[in-house]
Amino acid sequence: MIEVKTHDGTSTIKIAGRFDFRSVRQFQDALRHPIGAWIVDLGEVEFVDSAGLGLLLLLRERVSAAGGSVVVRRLRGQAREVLMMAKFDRLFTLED
Amino acid sequence: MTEIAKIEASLDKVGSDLVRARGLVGDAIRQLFKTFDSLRTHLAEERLRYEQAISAISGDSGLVAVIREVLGRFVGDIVRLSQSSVRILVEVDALRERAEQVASRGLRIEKIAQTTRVLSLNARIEAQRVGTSGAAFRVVAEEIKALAGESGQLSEAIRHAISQQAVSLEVTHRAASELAATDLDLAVESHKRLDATIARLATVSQTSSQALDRIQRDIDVAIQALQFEDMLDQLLAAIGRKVLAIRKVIGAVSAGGSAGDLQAEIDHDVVTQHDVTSGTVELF
Repeated sequence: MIEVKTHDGTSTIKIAGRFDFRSVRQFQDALRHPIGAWIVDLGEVEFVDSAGLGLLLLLRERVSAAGGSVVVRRLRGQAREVLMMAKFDRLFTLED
Repeated sequence: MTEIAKIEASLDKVGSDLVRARGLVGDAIRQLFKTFDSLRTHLAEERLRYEQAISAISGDSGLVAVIREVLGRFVGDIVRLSQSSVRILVEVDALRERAEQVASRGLRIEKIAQTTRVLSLNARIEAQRVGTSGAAFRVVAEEIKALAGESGQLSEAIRHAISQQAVSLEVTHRAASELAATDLDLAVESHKRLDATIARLATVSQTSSQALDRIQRDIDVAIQALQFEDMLDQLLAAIGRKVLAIRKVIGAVSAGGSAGDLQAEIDHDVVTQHDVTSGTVELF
């Protein structure tokens, strides 16, 4: 499940459950929000596969091209292990 | 044989036994020294081989580093592939959306064609009703009918093309989804096992290194202890001289003389220490 809220120019996208290829459509809809500062909250994510990582990279690509920034927040469990192994800490700002 | 002669013969035997003892002890010590020295050399060689083996596994460019590098590249490639696949999925969704818009417009064209056909029919009826003066109007009505037919065919062709495109898009979507979705848990697990292996190797390496150090120290102590052979040899030589001196004393006393300075020779200690780690050896 993906939920987006925008407040003071910052869009927060909250993802829960599985973050995989089935999230593409919802994630794409979320990207229709104004591109600026983004926070991706993965605190409720139970499972991430490579498609989830691809979506994060796509977000980063679009946001960076528009001069924005992406912060990934509340990484834990399997999501943390996968993102750290893929060295996403070098690509994104990670926050607890 | 007199009692004195018997004592002298016994002392001669003691002297020759001492000489044999010196020889045997010397041979044994030299053999032990050689063995420990060889052990020390082999230990150093084994330590070198062990360190090289550990380095080949867990060194900066060792096996583990190579596996880590390969694993990293594998994950990087998977993620890049997924990113491209996700991009394709996004584009496919956009194409689906556009196709739905075109289909909706095609439906509108179909409705226009139907309406036009009705209009054309009405026009032809009207032309028929007004008779010869409506002939030209009937021609126009026939043309409108033909155009309506063409529009209908075109609309049908568009609908068919969109339907086929939808199938292609569905196949592309499925393929891109399969490419995008790779479970990375196995890679994560491999990474963890690699880290655990490195940690275990480090522990084993440290323990083994400490054990080798202990063996090395023990060998050094043993080699140092074997150096007491010098003292033992001196001691045995001194005992031999004392036996000789006693024999002379006995000879002198039995001839009615005195022990004199020979007593000093008997009392003199060439080795003052009582263990192999302390004291001094009188060199002569």
